[in-house]
Parts: sequence; C-alpha cells; structure tokens
Amino acid sequence: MDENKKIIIKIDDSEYTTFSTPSYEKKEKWKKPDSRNILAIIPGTVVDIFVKEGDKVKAGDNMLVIEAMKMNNQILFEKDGIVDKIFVSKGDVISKGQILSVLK
Amino acid sequence: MGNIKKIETLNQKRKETMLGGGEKAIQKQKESGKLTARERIDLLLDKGSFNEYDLFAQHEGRDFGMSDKVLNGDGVIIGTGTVNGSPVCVFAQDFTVSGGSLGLMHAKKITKIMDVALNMRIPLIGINDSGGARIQEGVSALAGYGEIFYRNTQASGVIPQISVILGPCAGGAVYSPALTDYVFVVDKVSKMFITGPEVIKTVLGEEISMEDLGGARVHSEITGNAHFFAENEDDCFKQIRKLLSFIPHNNKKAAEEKETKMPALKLDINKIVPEDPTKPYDVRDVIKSVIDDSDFVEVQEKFAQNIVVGYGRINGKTVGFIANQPLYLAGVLDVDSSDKAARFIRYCDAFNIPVVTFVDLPGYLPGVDQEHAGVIRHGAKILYAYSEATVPKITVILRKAYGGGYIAMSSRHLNADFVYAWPTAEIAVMGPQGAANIIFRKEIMEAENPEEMRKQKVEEYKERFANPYVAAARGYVDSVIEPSETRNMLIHSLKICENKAEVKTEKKHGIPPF
Repeated sequence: MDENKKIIIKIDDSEYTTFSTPSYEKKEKWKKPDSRNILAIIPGTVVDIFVKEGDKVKAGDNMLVIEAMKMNNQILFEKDGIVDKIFVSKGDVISKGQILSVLK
Repeated sequence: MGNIKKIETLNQKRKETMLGGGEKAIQKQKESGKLTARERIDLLLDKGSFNEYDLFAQHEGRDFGMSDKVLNGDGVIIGTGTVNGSPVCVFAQDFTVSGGSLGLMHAKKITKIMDVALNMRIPLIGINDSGGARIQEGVSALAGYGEIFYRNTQASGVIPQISVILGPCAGGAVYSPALTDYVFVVDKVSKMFITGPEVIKTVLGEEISMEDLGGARVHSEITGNAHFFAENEDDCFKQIRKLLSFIPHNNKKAAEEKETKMPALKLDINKIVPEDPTKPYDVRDVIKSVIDDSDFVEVQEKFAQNIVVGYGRINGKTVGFIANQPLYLAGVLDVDSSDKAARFIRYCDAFNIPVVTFVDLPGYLPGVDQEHAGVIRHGAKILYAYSEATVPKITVILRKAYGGGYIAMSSRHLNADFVYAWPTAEIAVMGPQGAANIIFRKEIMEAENPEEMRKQKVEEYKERFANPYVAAARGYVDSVIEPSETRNMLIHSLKICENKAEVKTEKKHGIPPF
C-alpha cells in the first residue's frame, strides 16, 4: 500500500492516520446551498428558456423547461431577484445539480 | 429401428444439442474473453460429476417468427454434480444460444433446478451470462424472472445460493443475484446494471462505459453488490470451491470439519496492535494469528474495508469473523461497513456459524454526507443483527471501544456470550482527548497555561478510564487476557457454547431496519 495515500480522520479531537476506501472517496461531500443559484433538479435537455439576463423575476416565475424521460419539467425561481447570469441555452444537455442561472 | 440405432440417435442428438449455439457462436464467446457454459460447469464441479437435465427442452415462442427457431437447451444448462464430494445444483446460462436470453422454458429449467436444490437441501450455484429477457416472448419472460426471484427468497437462509456473473446481467435479471448470498465477479467479464450505458446516454446525456458503470471492480469496491472478485474465470471457480468448503450446505447441517492445524502466520500476537490508539495496523494479522493454518476466506474484501468479515476455522470448525479494520478509515462504522457487517452476521446466524468479533474502533464516522446517507438507519442494522443472532457470540476488545461503537460491536449489552479484552483495551465513552476537553473544559479554560492543563487532564483521563478494568469491574468484560491467550480462549469458549439454546421471543419475524 502507498503510504502517501494515508489520510487523517478526526473523531472526538483525536486524529487517526489511516487509508481511505473507494466507496468513501466516491461519496459526494456536502456543500452549503446558495439560494441565489438555480440548479437543475434533474438531468435532461433544455427545451425552452423564458428569461434573459437583467430580467426582474418574482418567486414562482418560470425560468426554463427541462425535458427528461419524455416529461417536461418546469424550473421555477424560488425567490425574487434580478437574473445576473444564465449559463445554459436551448438544446443544451445538462446534468443533475448543474448551475442554470444565478440571481443578483 | 433397432436398439443400437436408437442409442446412436440419442448420442447424435446429445452431441448436436450440447454444441449450444454452434461452432461460430462458441468462437465468438471465446473471442470476447469468456469460457463457454459447459467449460464453466466443468471448472466448478468435481471431474465427471455433472448430470444434466432438460437437455432437449425447447421453447414454445410463437410470435415474431420464433416458432421455426430451434434454440438448443433454450439457452441454459441445468444439472446436479458434486463440489469437494458434496452434492450441489447448478445452472449456467449459455450466451451462445440467443444471447442467453431468458424465455419461459429457460426460466422453467432454472426454477426446476432451484426446486431440486431447496428440496434436497443442497447449495445452488447460478452462472449468469445473458442479454436479458427474450423480448419475443413478452410477458412470459417477465413471469420467468418473477418465479426465480420468489424461489431465491424462499431458499434464502435454508441453502447457500451463489451467483456467478460471467457476462452481462442487466435489467431485472440483476435481482436474482441480488437476492442470493454470494455474488462472484470476474475482472473485465462481469457487467451488472439496471439501465445500461445506451439508455443513460439517451435519457441523461451522460456517457459511461459498461465497465465504469457496472464492471467487476465497481461492484466489488463501490456498490458492494459483489462479494468475491477474481482476475479470471479459473480463479473465480477455485474461490467458489473454497468458499463451499467453509460454509454449511444447509441450515440444519454443520460445515465440514477439518483436521485442526496451528496458525501458520508467525507474528508475535502480543505486538501486533500499536499502543497508541490512533495508529493503524492490519487487523487481519490478528485473525490469522488465531485461526487454523491462518487460512482466512475474506468476504467483500474490496468493499468498505474499514470492517473485515469472513470465515476461518478454529479447531477444525468454521467460525465467522467480524473485525474493525484500523488500516482503513480508522475502522469506523459508517453506512457501508454497517451494511456489510450486518448482512454477514445474519448469514452466520441463519446457518448456525458462531460469530467472533474483534473490536477496535473510534465510533461512527462523523460528517454531513454520512448523516444524509442515512447512517442512523444503516448503523441500526448492525445493532439489530447482533441482537437478533442466537449463534454463539464471542467478542474480543483489542484496543479502542468508544461510545456507540463499543455498544454496537457485539457488546455484553447486546447479549454476547463471552466478552474478553486485551490489556490494551480502552472501553470508554470517547477517546481521552475528546473526553478531557469536555469534562475539564472549565479547568482548561481558566488555567494559566491551558495547553499544559489540557495535557495533564488527558493523561489523568487516560490513567483512570482508558483501560479495560472499568468495564471489567462491572462484569461487562468477562476476562482481561493476554493477546497470546486468545486462540485458546476462543477454542474453550466455542466448546462451552456448542449446545447453546437461546430461547427467542415468539414472533413471525422482526422488522430489521432494511
């Protein structure tokens, strides 16, 4: 085993030197959600976009439609704001969790 | 037609049918790096012991031009034979016949041999190499899978069921192996998934190879769907034969007893475990220092390595070992290691294999990802499995046994039969650092030199609580032993437990935190 691959795990103020496991490394590390970011809740294809950068939007407004598994899924704004950036365009294939747009 | 002629006809028919999909298809099978179904059966069974049934079975598909098609054996070979002299049932899907696709007759052959296995109380080994349901047979193919799943479940805990994945095993077909006890995979040969790369690409736009999606390594290291990994098919069947020599062949029969051998590993067991509880070592060295010939069959060797499970023999008899592995993730309990251990414990309990537990863990793994992955529900499985098990349960605490981890690892409180501790054991609510920081928070904060005070308090805590004697004083530990006494203590305890008859509360069955 490669000694350089050792990691340190801290439990109750004690530090343990140890190796990692493949399934442990594969687990997604949690990130604090930022409510200004609009993320794709499912993977799919963007079939329609209803806003452009600079638009003033209200919570509940339709942002775009993602087609996945033959279903159209509306992505709504969760809070009021101004669209700062849109990162996708019509026809893009997107993955789950991908950032779609960010509000100011 | 005279008798001789009829016998000749039989032999001719046999010869033709046994070619499966024919020379060309066999050639193709070989080119893709796979053995044929018949070669696989030969590798599994004792030489010349195979008896085949339903060789002349034919499908009854009528739609889509199927009625004219002859599919030899309908793409699966079934029969009985022996492994290490003991009878077993086997089926092997033949990829050379219509891609080993499963139609009604194919499924009927499999369920026939499953019924034999269960009725005769002998192990079942299923070799999977199939493109999936035979679409032309429609709902009949689905019925076939369902009837296999039903029998897998009925046989669960009665006879050992082994699945060998030697080719594709996709869609609904994966659930038969998933319901069985041991899944064997071979590098670059096995492929298991519910939805294949094609569908994933079409629907989700994610590109991934079959190997990366559901190859042997993925299922051995990440998903935990596989229990044994082999480099090639030859090695795979050797591993199966070895496993079958260690486990009982039904739930009323003990595993074959072997001649007692002394451990082959020549390590000083008194020196394997470092005194510093934060330093790693390989707990398998401890297992190998106490079992016959140091011959250990590890289950799920590459998955959740922070816990080690597997079989060894003590005085010739099979024992199941569960041990925290400080070498990986400090030996913590987490979602994966709890699942792995709980399943193994339940297997041992179902087949009356005594359980020996070696404890050295700092507790459950902290972290948002663990909490969100359901470490509460998964972690509960190990508590359930130990508490539920009525087989002899012997625990040896090697070093750390902190907090919830101490309780979970077959403690006296979960009804372990005998609990031993080495002098290096630290049975406490948490490690000295953490405990001192909480208990003496005020003293440390108010001290002129907080670091000095912290050190002093940690030492104080170590002195008073980080040892086996506090628990021993309360009878939670039956005896504090020298590491070198461990093998003899296990031999003795297993002897005492031989006629253990624990009375269970009457119920239909419990509700484990699945």
